[in-house]
Amino acid sequence: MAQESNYGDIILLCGDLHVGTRMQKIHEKIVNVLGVNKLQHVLCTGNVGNKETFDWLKQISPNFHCVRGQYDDENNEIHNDQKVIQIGIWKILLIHGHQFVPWNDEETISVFLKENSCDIAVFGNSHQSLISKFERKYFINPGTMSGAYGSIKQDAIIQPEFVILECLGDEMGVYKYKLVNGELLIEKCTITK
Amino acid sequence: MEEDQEKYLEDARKVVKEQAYFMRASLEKAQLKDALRYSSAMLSELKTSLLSPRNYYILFMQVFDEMRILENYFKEEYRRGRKMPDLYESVQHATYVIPRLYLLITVGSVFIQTHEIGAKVILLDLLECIKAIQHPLRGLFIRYYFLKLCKDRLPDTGSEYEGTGGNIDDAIEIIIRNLSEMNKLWIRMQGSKDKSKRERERLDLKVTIGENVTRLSNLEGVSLDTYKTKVLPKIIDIITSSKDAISQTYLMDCTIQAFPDEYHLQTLQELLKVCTTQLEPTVDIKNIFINLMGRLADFALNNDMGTFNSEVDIYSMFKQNIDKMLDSNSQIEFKNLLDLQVAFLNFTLRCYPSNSEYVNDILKSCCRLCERQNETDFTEECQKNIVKFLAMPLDTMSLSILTMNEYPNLMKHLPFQKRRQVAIKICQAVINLNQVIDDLKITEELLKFIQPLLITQNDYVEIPENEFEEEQQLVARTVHLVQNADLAIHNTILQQFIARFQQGEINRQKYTYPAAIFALFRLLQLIAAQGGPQTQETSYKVLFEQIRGLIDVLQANFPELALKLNLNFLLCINIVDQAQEFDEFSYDIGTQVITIFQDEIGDSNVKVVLLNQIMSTFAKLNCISGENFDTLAGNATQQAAKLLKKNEQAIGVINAAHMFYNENIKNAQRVQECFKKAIKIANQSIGNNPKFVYVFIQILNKYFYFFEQVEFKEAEIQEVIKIINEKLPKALQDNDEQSKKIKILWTATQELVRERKRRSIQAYQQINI
Repeated sequence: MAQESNYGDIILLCGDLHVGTRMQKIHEKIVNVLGVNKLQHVLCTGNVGNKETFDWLKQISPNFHCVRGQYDDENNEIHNDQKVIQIGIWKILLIHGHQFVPWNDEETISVFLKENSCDIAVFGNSHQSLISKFERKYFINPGTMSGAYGSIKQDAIIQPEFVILECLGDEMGVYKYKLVNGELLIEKCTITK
Repeated sequence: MEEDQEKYLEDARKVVKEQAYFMRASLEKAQLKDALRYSSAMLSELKTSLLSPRNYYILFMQVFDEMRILENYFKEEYRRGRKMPDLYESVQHATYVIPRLYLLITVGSVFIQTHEIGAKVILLDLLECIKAIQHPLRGLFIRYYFLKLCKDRLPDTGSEYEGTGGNIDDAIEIIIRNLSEMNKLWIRMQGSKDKSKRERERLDLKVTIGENVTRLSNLEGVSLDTYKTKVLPKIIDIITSSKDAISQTYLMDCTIQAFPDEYHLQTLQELLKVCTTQLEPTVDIKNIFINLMGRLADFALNNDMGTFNSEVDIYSMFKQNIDKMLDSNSQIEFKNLLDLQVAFLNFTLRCYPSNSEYVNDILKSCCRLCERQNETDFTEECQKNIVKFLAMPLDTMSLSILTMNEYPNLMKHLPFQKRRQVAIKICQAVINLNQVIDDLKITEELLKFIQPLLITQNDYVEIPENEFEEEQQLVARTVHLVQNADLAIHNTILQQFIARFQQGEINRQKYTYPAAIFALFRLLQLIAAQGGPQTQETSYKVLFEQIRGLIDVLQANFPELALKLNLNFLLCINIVDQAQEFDEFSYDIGTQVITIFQDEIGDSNVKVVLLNQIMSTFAKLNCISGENFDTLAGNATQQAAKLLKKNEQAIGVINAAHMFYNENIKNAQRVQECFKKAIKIANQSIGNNPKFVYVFIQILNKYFYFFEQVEFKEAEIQEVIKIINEKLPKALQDNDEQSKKIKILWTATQELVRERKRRSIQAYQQINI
């Protein structure tokens, strides 16, 4: 799925849900906001959790991509450790991120981006959202969509987060969502190829 | 017999068609006498005894349609000046009773419309006349004909016939009499020898009776008061005096259906009393109750609940009557009584959503009911109902339901599969309703109820694997609902869960232990955020030891999982233990990680990914003292050098450098050692395989990563670049996937240097790429 025909596509970036081992479910507010048939693509960084949650993620859009997190080994519907996805003129590298040494490091991830000729790296693992640019490459971490405990962050209470991308030709609208006290807060920015 | 019936009906219909044709022809020629003769002949077909009730009905409808034409003609006649009394009189010349009476009713209906004489006079007269037909089937239908023709000619309040023609009382009286007689005839119907066939035949005709009730309910003059004082008592009278179960059931249903729910609310006591004490034992009272409760619940929810609550105590009325049924020695089957209890509970939950006392009372009744039964009475149906009973309240009420003492009493009547279902529903309800588990007593009860999921009980039955996984995931998810601002209590509640988990087997612990472990991690961080442990039970030492113990149990069967959990454990300690108080403990965990990696992970691909995780984790740690950490990191580096493939070794060793240079530690020497080792390994392999140049490029990029912080000999780096330039052409010869990757990465690397040179970063100025 590529080319200009993807103009206007809405893409959900999410991951690190850990439903079962670390969290009981995805908050209703988020489930309702995402609805059905609002999204064209879903990119999941991995560590989904139980089957019910995985099945839900599969059907909220016609294009579902998921890569393997370190706790996804029992899920035999996830086949890739990393995946390159083309949307419009953007090439996205989807990878969980537990594989990197060190974690969360733009320069290290850059090497992977360069050898795959990708523009944006979408990764998780830290349970902390991030949108940054480094030497002409973009890095997006959508955080944990369930608010699951992550050993890297200082806070014991972690807010559920996810990111929505809107494909606008050589630009991408980036919307960072965070659930705080039952309300969804949104931050917006734009990235340009 | 069937074919005979078809033939009889066919024949009769043919005659009706024929005679009707002649009747119409005569009417067109204004020959009334002839028309009447033909209509008589047509109506005579209704004298038949040959037809089944259903077929008689069909014939009747055909005749009915034709009689409308005659009725219209009578109307026209009146307008043309013919005297109604004359007509009324002349139709009585018909020889046979049936045709005579049908014609009389037809004329009578028109007569009433003339207002020359009071409606009630004619109607009562007609009622008297049709008494003559005592044959059940024929009598039923002539009265049906009467109802259909005269129903709009009643002296209802506000109608054109009120006044001298009568009033609402008369209208009621007339219909009630008709209903009463029709009911008697209906009950007397003979039909087939076969009882169930006979019952079916009767039910085929029930709408003829029902229309009387419907007409009553449509009367303008029947207000709530009139209904209460005049209509309902008479209907009840008809019902109770009949002693026929089919009739009683149908008439009760009709009455409930036809009249508005507000009326039922006001007469509920009366209705329930009749149902429980005055109906035949074979009447399915439960359905009537369920019907009523359903309607009243809908009514309550669509209207002001205030009326519901304040004016009449609906709940108590139902409760008393239902309990009466439970306690009486009646033959009502256990299964039906359970159905009733479930419906009653549903009703109560809908109309009194937060009243836990009511729920408990119904629970008690249900328990009493179940206690009286033998074990064999608990069929699949009954068990399903008990499951429903236990699960329904959870959808609307809080977990406090579980503390009701009758709850476990009901569970014990269920076999394993059903207890498991209840357990699953409890977990689902708790999760879906976002319930917080913050109370010790409730936790105790909750754990008791979900026992079928936690341990292997005596009557355990094997479950398919995917279902087992799902149920264990449910249990795991439930743990994360534990929460209490008082962390000591929070911990105690968690401990209760863990105690149960310890009694499960390893196949359950695979799911429950990780959840418990992460819950404990979260608790630890909460404790740290609050300034540290406040009690002995929540001390770091105690909790750390517990977590270690849990992970150890998993290790035997799930070494990889245990390794990963240990890594998470280290990161948790890292956040909580800022003062390296648990240095030795953390060092032990780190060593354990290496041991598992070395001894229990066989797959070499898995090893590569795991080792990266180990090194990234170690790179974060600040909770292990210098010497201990150096040993650990050294071990990890050694493991990298022992990986299966040479390129993995080289990259692994280079990654190891990050353990020695990060936000916590800046050991440049170790970093340089890593690079030297990596180069050595790489040099050993490049000879055979030109594509190995890829590894060199990776190493080069890593040099640049540390470039501005760690000192490297310029020659060292140029040497790497030289090797790359040498081997590159051969590597790119094939032009396959790997070659393309190499080319892209090399180009990007060159670009990186140029870019950083441009930015005037000192170190890069000397690099010649």
